[in-house]
Amino acid sequence: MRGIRVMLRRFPRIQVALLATGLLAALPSAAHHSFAIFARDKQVTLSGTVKEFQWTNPHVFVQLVVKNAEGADEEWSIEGASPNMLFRSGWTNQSFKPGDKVTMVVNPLRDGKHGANFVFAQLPDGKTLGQLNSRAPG
Amino acid sequence: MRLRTSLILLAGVLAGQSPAIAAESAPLPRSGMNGIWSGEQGVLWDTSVRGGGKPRAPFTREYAAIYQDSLDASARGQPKADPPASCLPPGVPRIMASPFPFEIVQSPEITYILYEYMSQIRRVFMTGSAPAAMGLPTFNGRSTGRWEGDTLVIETSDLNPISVLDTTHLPTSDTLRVTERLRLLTPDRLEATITLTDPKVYTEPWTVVRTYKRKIGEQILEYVCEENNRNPVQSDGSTGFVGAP
Repeated sequence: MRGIRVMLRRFPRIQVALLATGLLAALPSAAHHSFAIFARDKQVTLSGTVKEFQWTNPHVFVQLVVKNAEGADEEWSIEGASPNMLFRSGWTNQSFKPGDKVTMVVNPLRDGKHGANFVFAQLPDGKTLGQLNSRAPG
Repeated sequence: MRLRTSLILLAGVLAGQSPAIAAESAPLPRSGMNGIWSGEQGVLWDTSVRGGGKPRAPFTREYAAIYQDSLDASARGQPKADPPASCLPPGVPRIMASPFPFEIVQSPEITYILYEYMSQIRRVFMTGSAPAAMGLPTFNGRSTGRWEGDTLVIETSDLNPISVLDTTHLPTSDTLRVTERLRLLTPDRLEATITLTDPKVYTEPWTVVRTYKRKIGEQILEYVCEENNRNPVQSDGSTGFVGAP
């Protein structure tokens, strides 16, 4: 929870609101499966280190290692849209690299497991990356 | 209609030159339908639904209950897995609501629709008859096409009833027949009026209108869903999520 408070300071409210509109734009990714497995009304902020970026169909995944409240490593699986869709909005297979320190805002799984739907990320260079309109907020 | 036509004409005058007027005065060539198109209404089948409203499908009582079950499962966070979650094709007509572009290629005998989504291909037979049914339902069905003026009319049958219309799990049955009426609104905008006739599911035919924008300079990309599907169907039929090993 402390992480969430910290991040709210780093992302001014208006920016969060603007980027949250990216949620609507991200809806087309629901072509493959229902997103009701995620708590779409809930946003969690995760800061950690990228372990792996899976630039694959039908969805891209970022494996993100995050320290939990007890200081232990937790690996989260963050699901994004499909490479074709993301490629058209400027993503590449280099959008995340192992070792990158990033902060992500995500919709967590409703069953409480360490998985989530990608909303946007703050990259090591300070730029933000959304899904379908990724160039706009950056 | 007269008022609407007048308004279109007026808009055309104001705009200086209107594609609508061009369309009325000189029919757009049938070959103008070739090219790459991208949907403008998103993936929910009922284009009139916004913000989580219920589709206006004229359900029979039986299918209203079936659909309500699906909505309830989603509300519990255990959405029923639809065929694409298992990387099965979305099928006709859902593929016309794909979030990814498709390409139309016409030959005299066959109109091909090449979809990026799941790398699907539809063949619409323009010679009056589709190949014989195999005696089993298929995801894209058997399609025949004909021109009515500048409108390409596609009739499709023999569809697989496991297909649903979107991730809200709008159901179909083995009595579904689909009529698509495609026409160019302007050289760069395509309209599809899609009518579902499915007596088991609907009390009357249900029509939605979708539009598509021409994607100039776009390529159809590869989409092979089986590559890394981490949302497999669970044993209870719900949508899964494969986490870290």
